[in-house]
Amino acid sequence: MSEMSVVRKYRKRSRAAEIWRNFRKNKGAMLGLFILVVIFAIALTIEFWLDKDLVVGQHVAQRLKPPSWAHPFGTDDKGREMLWRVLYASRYSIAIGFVAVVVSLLVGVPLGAVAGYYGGRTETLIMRVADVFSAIPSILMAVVVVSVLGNGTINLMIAVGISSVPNFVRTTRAAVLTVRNEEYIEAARALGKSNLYIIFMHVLPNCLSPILVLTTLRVASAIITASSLSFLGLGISPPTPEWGSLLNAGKQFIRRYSYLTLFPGLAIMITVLSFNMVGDGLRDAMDPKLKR
Amino acid sequence: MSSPILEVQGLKKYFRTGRGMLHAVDNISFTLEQGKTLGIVGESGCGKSTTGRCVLRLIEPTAGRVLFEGADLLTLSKAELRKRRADMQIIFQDPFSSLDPRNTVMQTIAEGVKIRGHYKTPAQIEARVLELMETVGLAERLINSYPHELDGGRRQRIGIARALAVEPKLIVCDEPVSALDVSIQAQILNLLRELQKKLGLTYIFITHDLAVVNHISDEIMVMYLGQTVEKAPTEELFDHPVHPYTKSLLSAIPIPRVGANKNRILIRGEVSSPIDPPDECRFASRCDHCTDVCTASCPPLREISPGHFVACHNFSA
Amino acid sequence: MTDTAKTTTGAPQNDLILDIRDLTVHYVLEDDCVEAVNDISLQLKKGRILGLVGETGAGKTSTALAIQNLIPSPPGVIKSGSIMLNGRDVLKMSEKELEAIRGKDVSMIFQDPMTSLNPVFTVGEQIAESIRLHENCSDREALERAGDMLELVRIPRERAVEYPHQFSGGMKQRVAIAIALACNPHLLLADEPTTALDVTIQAQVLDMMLSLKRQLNTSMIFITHDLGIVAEICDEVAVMYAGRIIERGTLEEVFNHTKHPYTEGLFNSIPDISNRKAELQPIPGLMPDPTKLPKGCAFAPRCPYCRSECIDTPQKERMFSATHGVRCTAYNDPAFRIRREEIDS
Repeated sequence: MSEMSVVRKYRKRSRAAEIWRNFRKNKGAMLGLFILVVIFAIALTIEFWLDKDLVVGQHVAQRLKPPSWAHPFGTDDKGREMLWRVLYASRYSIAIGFVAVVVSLLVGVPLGAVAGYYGGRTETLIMRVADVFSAIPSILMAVVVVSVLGNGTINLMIAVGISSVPNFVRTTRAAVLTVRNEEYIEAARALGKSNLYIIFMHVLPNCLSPILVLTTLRVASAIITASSLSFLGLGISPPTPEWGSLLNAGKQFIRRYSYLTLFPGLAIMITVLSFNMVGDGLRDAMDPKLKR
Repeated sequence: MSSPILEVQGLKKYFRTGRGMLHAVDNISFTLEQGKTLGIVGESGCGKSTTGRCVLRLIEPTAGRVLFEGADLLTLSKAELRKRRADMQIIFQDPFSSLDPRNTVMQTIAEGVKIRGHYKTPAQIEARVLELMETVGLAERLINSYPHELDGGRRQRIGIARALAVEPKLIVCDEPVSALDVSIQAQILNLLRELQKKLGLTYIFITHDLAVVNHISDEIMVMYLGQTVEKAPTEELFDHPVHPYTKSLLSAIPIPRVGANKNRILIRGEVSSPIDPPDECRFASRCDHCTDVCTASCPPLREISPGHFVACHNFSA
Repeated sequence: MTDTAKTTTGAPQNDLILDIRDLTVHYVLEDDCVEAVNDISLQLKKGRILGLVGETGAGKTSTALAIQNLIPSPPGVIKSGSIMLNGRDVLKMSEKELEAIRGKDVSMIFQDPMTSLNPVFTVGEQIAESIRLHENCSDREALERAGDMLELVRIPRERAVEYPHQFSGGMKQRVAIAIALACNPHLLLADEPTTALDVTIQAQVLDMMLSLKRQLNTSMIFITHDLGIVAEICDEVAVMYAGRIIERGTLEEVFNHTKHPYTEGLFNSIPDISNRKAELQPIPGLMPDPTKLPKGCAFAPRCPYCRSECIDTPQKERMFSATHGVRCTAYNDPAFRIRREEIDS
């Protein structure tokens, strides 16, 4: 009996394809996506094609040259090309942003799901702890964590990650609350499915939309937090470039050599803006009720 | 004579609210024979949906016994209950929210098919899903459709197919046609009746629409504020309604015939509060035949003729 | 149906409160065009209640919105037609003129009383708002009259200071009726006002609406899918299917001398508690996709009497009496009859 599966016979466009189709119509989001793809490409490959000496070496003869054709972003006080410094710094920002958010996802989503689904004392406990953490300003918390754990990229990632967890807990719980009372959850219970099955197969998949959007937006804020920490002198230590530490290094020259802070600042701004636009576009694309 | 498939005794569900104890379901009892349909009728807030869910233990009752094939569901452990669930299913009112919007028709029905484990390979499961789709009248080409792509009637058929997939003995139908267009309602009602005959299913049919319940029930139980006010075989209830509430419910239904809608019995006032109700007839404040005894104590459910029960101090047949 | 000449003074002729001619409303979407209302004509005399009957997607709500020129303008487009309200064409009015007549000459009650009342204003305020907008009177007078309206809908006037959430569904709907009738409009549009209510409350509300109509002589268009309600309070009926009025006439004509197969199908598929033995005969199939309506009869695929000419021929309205109109190509054959019995009243 080699009939073709009926499911295959009537195969349709998947939801992912639908979402992509809607996303493509949003010009702002597509621009953001394009920029992110370029930044990613640079961040992932720069290690291989750039001479590291240009970034961390010393070229005193060229110091503090303003932007020109020879030096597109100018040079810093050690004579290094700002262009390469800024581009190289993207590695750290992207890495920190991502790992931090993944940490918060892995910790925050399950906690939020449990809080939202089970309710009662579990929920109260989890939410009050999350409230305490979110009452502490994220920079402050990250500062404390880094002070305790010491400087370095990994610790910075953890610090930034922890500061994002309450957001994920809260968003996931809110999404779970709306889904929990839907009848299809009751239907799954009526079929005799266990709570764990229901949370993973029915509840969380229907909460993806707000969580996904929050993820893209939180990457952006993670990058800012990481930059802020480096600006404060915590986290990444020189000569390794990171956008925030570049700002820090450039601030003493800000009157005469403002380009030293301009370009790292622009880099942060463009990256964060692109993440936001992609996040917004994703939210709109995933909403089936939005008339396009 | 076989024993009834379902026996509910003294079912109660109370909710604690800020203002007091809400008596959602207050001492409901009934028995149901296999292959028959009990219609539970009442307006919003009467507790009929809560009763249905308590019978399946989707909501934990506050008190009472629910004997399904002799075993009290309310004393089973969670694990034992989960195993029993395959024998009793529910069809919901809202055909949209009762289906997972991220699952296709195939995935939704297959979830039910896999419960009993009779069908193991993907090919077997698919074949069974197609069989069920045909039984409920869903075209084969819809197998990969999502709920939001289909109309209410089709979505409701998916819900029915999912309930059938588990091979249950009892199905609680919670207002399954209320959200559907008139011409689709009739299609679904006829389908439910056919399935009952073919598969020997037992139904609890919950609705606010007396006209609809007439076509599908063997016995009807009228609920008001959590209590049974009247219970009788269908014909008997329509021909000889006794409780004042039943009479006004029947009279309130608009009849699609010119000149047929005179002599309405209009109930005055609004439903009284289900929170901490006093010991009196709950319909007393709205009843035209209310006397002193009605506000003195809550009338018990009494059998006034074979199979016909009424809870009223002053009934006149 | 006598012809209504359009006058410039706005005086209604032949005591018609509403005269819709050849109205077509489409919703233009990205890929498709939803043909919501297709070439309908409708007349309503003063003081009469018209039941606009149809299922979901038939075009009833779009018609009601069009009467107030409230069709959302992208994506809605009024492709053709005129709507004479009290002798003036609503579709040609400016926004200012429309604001003056909405709530005053024509007002609407919606289906869901839960969402049609503003939760942050008291009930009295919401009624008074309507009065203040259209009449020149002081705030105190407006609130006084709001109290009068509450009494009219059988709610004690002391409750004017309460908020919507303090009322039950049936009472909220009565408040919505009070708001709609506050300025004594000539025409009331009620879009399934009792669908969300319990049947005993529905009976109260319908009884109240009938007595209001008698007191204030308001004309009404009552949109519903429930033929029982139509039988109870309507004087005239228009049945819509796929954006067209396929049968219209007086209550007696449409119920007792039914002509269109769809109307017959509706009667056969609804349970009637006065005739409980009857089998439910559903209409097979579904309403057609409003973006892909056929040239001929839209009901043809589901019609038990369908003939070959029904599929392609565009339908014309055939009048069986001065008031009874039917769009059915099968009646081109003078011998054609549907199975539903004629009832002599």
